[in-house]
Amino acid sequence: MAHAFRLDGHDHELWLSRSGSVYQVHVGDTCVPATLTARGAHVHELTVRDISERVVIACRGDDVHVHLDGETYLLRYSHSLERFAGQATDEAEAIARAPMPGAVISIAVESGASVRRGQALLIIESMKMETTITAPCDGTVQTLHLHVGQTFDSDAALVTLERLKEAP
Amino acid sequence: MKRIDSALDTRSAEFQANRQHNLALAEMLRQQQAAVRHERPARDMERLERQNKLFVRDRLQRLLDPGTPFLELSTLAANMEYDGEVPGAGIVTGIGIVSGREVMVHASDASVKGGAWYPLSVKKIVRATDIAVENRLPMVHLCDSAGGFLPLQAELFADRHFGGRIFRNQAILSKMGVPQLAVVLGHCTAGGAYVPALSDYSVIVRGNGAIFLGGPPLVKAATGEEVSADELGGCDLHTRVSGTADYPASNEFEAFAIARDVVAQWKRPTKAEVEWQEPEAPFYDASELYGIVPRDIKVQFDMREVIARMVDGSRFHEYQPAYATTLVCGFAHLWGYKIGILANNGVLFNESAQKGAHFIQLCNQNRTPLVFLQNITGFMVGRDYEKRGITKDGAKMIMAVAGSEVPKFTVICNGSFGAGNYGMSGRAFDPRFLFMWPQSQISVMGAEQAANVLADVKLRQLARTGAQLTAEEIAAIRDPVVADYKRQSSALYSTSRLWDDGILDPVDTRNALGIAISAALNAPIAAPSYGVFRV
Repeated sequence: MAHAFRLDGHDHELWLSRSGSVYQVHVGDTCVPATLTARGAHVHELTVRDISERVVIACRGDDVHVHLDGETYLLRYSHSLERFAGQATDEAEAIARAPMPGAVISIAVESGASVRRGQALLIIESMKMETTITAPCDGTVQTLHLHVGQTFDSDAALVTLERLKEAP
Repeated sequence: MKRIDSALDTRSAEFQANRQHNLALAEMLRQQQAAVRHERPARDMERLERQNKLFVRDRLQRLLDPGTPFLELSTLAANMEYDGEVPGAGIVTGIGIVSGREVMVHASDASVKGGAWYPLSVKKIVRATDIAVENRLPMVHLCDSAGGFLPLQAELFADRHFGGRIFRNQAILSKMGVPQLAVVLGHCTAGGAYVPALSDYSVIVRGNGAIFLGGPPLVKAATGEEVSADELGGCDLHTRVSGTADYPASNEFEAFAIARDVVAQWKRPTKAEVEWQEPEAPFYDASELYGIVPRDIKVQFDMREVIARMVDGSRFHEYQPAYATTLVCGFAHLWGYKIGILANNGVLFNESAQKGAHFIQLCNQNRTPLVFLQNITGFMVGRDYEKRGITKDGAKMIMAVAGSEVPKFTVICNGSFGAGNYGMSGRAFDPRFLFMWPQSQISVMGAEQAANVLADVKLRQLARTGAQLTAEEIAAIRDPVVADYKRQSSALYSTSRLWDDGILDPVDTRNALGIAISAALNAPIAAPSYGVFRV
């Protein structure tokens, strides 16, 4: 599986393989020899086939800023585990479930409230430990399945969210 | 390997309150450590100066390679014993770099009671030699001790892991081909005389250094012979006549120069082969750990947030992410070393214990060292769970932990209660190193529950006599029990008695584990083998 970089909203798949003293860049079915030589202070010399260009490259986390031939490009590495994760359609992930049997101590949200991923929904107590149940995704609270004091079994649905659709 | 996507809200009131709490604890730890390391009564420091001796910290500085890390172990040992008058149990131990080689250092602190061995001093030295044996670490002993502390001799002499164990371990190290060097900077009396004698190499300082089974007063009492310490067991006697010590040194500075030159002759170890890649700093800031660990031990937190602030690039390959979610298992790299992590995200259920046992077996097949991150109240209780064999499943996990051949490292991040401590590689299961975080607690059960049980027993005894107790009277019985129990489950109490290898500021955990893993790989990793799993 090739690496993917997001550029201007589109994923571009490519792969780098070794070949003698140079690399081969694989894009689709084509294969181009290339070398990249550091010249200090983010400046590199990029040679593709026989053409050399001066290029400035700066990385910040998964973002790669490239300045080449008077233009600036922002590339973002798109991890295949995230690219192909079925989050947007996986409804099971929009339900906060009980990790263990216990009782509800307090509820922090109301039905219809909009919540962000990681936001506290309710606190449960089990085996003398208090656990905060957080929103598994961004969305709005559709159903609160329990009230304060109520007990439940492991894996019981606690809160169902309506997943916030990602802006296209 | 994908980066953990942190869901931590660093602006929340909860985060800020936890941060305040844990920062204060870290600051207190820093102060306590600084005091143990550097603060001594003026008369003790003056005595050292008069004797022309360096303070133990200055000795370490002379011995170790400048600019290299020194992982000091059990700095706060004995902090709750002997009226707090024996800082660090009078001994400094740790892993450091001498002439480019990883060594275990054991140094007497002559500024504390003349370097006398208290029971916990002996325990600390035994632990240092145990670490050397388990990890095949060469040792450097800096000897300057008045000998065993006689009033407490019953607690340091005769038992299996008392004084004799130091010398037994030294002999075993030599037998294993792991070199040791003793630098005799003061007296080595009685048992202590065997430390240089059992080392493969020894340096002795002219004037101050002396090795003898019985010191001048004892000799006079026994035979009437009057002899000075130097005549009895000094530098020239031992390096020219008896051959008990190897290298004479005219002063401490020369002694350390010789010591470094001796260590430079040792062959470098072949490390056990494990997966390694170029290290990468964690993506998330380690200082956010202060806001993650809750100030109330009853409050659960997501251990993935801790992992994200400890491992390379915050990358984590989670194994069985949807199954038995109260035990988080997965692979990561730490300072480049591939590790398998087991971390508690709640009580251990049947399937969590099975998942843990299974994952430990995977790591043993894979030759991947294991890191246990503890925050555990125990195994689940109740008829349903017993019916499904919770005890049997817990036994599987304990069997896997105990039988594991890859090195194990344990960090107690918060609670460590009951059998959960066993399943998660507590001290009894020989993790190569075990560290605690300042806020953590360790006991057979939680303080509140245990204190209630203890107080209830007392109250019932009183009730049987027909006494009617007021709420105040009940509190008067219960409160001291709670206070005492809490004290005895604190990290400071644990580290005082060497149930661990030291308390870590959470932000230092990554570096401490990096040094620990590197040290552990001096020992080869055997092929996987276990006892019988009750399936």
